[in-house]
Amino acid sequence: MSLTSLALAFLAFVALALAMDRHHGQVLNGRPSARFRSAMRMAGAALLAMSVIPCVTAHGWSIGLTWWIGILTAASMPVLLLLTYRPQLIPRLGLAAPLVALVPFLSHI
Amino acid sequence: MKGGIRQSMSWLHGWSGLLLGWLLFAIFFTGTIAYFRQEVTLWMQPELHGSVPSPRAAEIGLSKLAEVAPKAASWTVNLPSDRSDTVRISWRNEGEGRGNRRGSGSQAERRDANSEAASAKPEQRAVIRDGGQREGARARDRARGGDGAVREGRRDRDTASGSAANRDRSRGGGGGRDRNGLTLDATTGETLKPRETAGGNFLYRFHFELYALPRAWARWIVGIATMTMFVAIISGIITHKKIFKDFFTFRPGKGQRSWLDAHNATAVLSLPFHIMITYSGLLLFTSTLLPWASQAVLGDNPRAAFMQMRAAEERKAEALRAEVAKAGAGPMVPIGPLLERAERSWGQPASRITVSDPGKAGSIIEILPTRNDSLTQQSGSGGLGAVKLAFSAKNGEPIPLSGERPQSVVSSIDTALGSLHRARFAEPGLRWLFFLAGVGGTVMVGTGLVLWSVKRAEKSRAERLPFGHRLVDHLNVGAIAGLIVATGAYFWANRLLPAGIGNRAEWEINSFFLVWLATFLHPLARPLKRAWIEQLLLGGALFVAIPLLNAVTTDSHLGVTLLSGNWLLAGFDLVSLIFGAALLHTAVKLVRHKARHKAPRRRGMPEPAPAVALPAE
Repeated sequence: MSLTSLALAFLAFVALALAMDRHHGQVLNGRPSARFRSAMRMAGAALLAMSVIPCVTAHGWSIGLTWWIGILTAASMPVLLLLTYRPQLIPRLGLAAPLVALVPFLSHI
Repeated sequence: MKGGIRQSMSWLHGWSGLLLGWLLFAIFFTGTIAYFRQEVTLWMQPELHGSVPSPRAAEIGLSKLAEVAPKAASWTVNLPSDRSDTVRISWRNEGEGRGNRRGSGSQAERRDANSEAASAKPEQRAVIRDGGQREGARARDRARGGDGAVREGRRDRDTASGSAANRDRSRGGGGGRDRNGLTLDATTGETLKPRETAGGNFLYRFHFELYALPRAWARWIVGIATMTMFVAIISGIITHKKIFKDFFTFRPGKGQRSWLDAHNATAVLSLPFHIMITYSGLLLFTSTLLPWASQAVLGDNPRAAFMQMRAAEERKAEALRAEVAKAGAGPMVPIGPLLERAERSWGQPASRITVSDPGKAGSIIEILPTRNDSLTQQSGSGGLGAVKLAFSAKNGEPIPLSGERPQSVVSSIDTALGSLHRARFAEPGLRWLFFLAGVGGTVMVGTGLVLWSVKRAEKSRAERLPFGHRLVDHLNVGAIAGLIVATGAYFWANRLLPAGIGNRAEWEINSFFLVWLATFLHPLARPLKRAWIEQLLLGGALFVAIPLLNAVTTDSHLGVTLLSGNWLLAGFDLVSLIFGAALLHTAVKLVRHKARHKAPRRRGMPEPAPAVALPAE
């Protein structure tokens, strides 16, 4: 379940980064439109909120939130490094993230 | 200070960070490794590496105890867990242990018992109910540090193997002095004789009590550093103009700008961790920094208050024993079903079995879980889970225990912060996240120190930098690269010092400090940039070669541990390898780097490597 949370948080940070001029330019070239920007912000916020759910359901509130905060760090650091060194990988990883988020559920099918 | 609040905060941040930065770097570096201190200790005792956990571990431990200590007053079996592969047993004979310990306790332990009692808040007093155990384990834990390590280490060598293993074992020893203990192979039951080592425990103790200083001094020094860290965090947040705008920003190859980016990124991306670890660290020093608070609650004689509370607990335990004794004496029930039952009720594996009065009427089996599942639970004895279960040894009937007393809100918050700092509740995945955040903190402090220097060097137009600046540059090398080299040397010493040599653990520690001292002398003889490069290369070489060293000196190298999926041991080698490679990478970047400022007359400052490639294991 922490994998689901990690993937969601990663996706959230990618969305938030794409809403910013500098990073939008690094990944997709050009400046984001106002609509794109606000859509990415909303998506990022929603995904961040979603990423807390698997942690809390698996570990309870106190330790679940501890997991979540750790995961936020673990998800944001790679976004920063990718933006710096391999921005072209971000769209691909962003597309893969939702699939990764589903992996822990495979055993239930 | 002129200018607005941001300027004054920036001034405060720079100076508070610098003055205690070197110490803070050491605290973060060793403290981060300390998240894995048991794993590090295990790596440092190759004699234990052959043990493989088996479902029979509990029976192996109990039957060995029946064989070597049939008349003991209590038995303890520490089961293999995700942090240990061996079975550790210990026993306490009649008249030994608690009572005895009180009588013969060393000065250090007495003092500790005081501070422990003093730090116990009234609501908690009842909860430190295996009072003796917890206090005993901790007192001992402390006695291990600094001068205590030497004294205790000697005593242990007479009874058994390695000091670190012993220390851990002592936590199972019903709290008392650990006179009687053995480490067993978890599959064959064979008695193992691990080498003596200062283990991960030395690094753990160093991070809050330093070394060879009177404990009170050391705690004051680290306490003040912690407070300074807190000041630096708050002033740093205020100074940082674009927390959100620069959230994901790192611009390498741009001198001061890059160092600032690296400093900001490692600070911001794990900011909750930094705030938590600093604030909770400060709280852990409360009894040192604010002794009056506990005096006000417990009176002038905390020791008496503590003893009183313990006497009450013992009376209760006596009553319970009498109740259980009504069933008469008899052979012990098989442990398997009890473990199964306990594990089902917790949803996690058991970690420790204690049998009081084995074989006699009133014998009770207590089983502890591996870890807590909530932050507000008091840490169980030895940092294990707190929710223990008890059974009658005669018939396996469960015995109701008085649960934890309710805590006040303040006390719960205090407990939660203490739990967060120590992270004993953390399962391996979460432990890695703590480690990662710790690496972030270490890089943050390290880049901050270098930044102080780079920033002033780029501004300065002087032909020769002022003495103070050169001193900072010089100390940075020893405090950052030097500490890394010393830690690498410490691990090498563990493998290279002959296993039988006297005072072995002390020699490991001596190697650490001798090398560290040398790294402070080395930059005196070399140009600054060369000193950085040489120390980074040396540190990198030491760490990269650790898997090799391990392969030459043991049978538990990566070729074996990776194939058998033993991540407990492989983890150490792999982290060393990655860390060493990062250091070498940094050194190479430094070699290639040309001074970038307009004033080429001055030696250039090191170029920041990518955030990952910076000091921190």
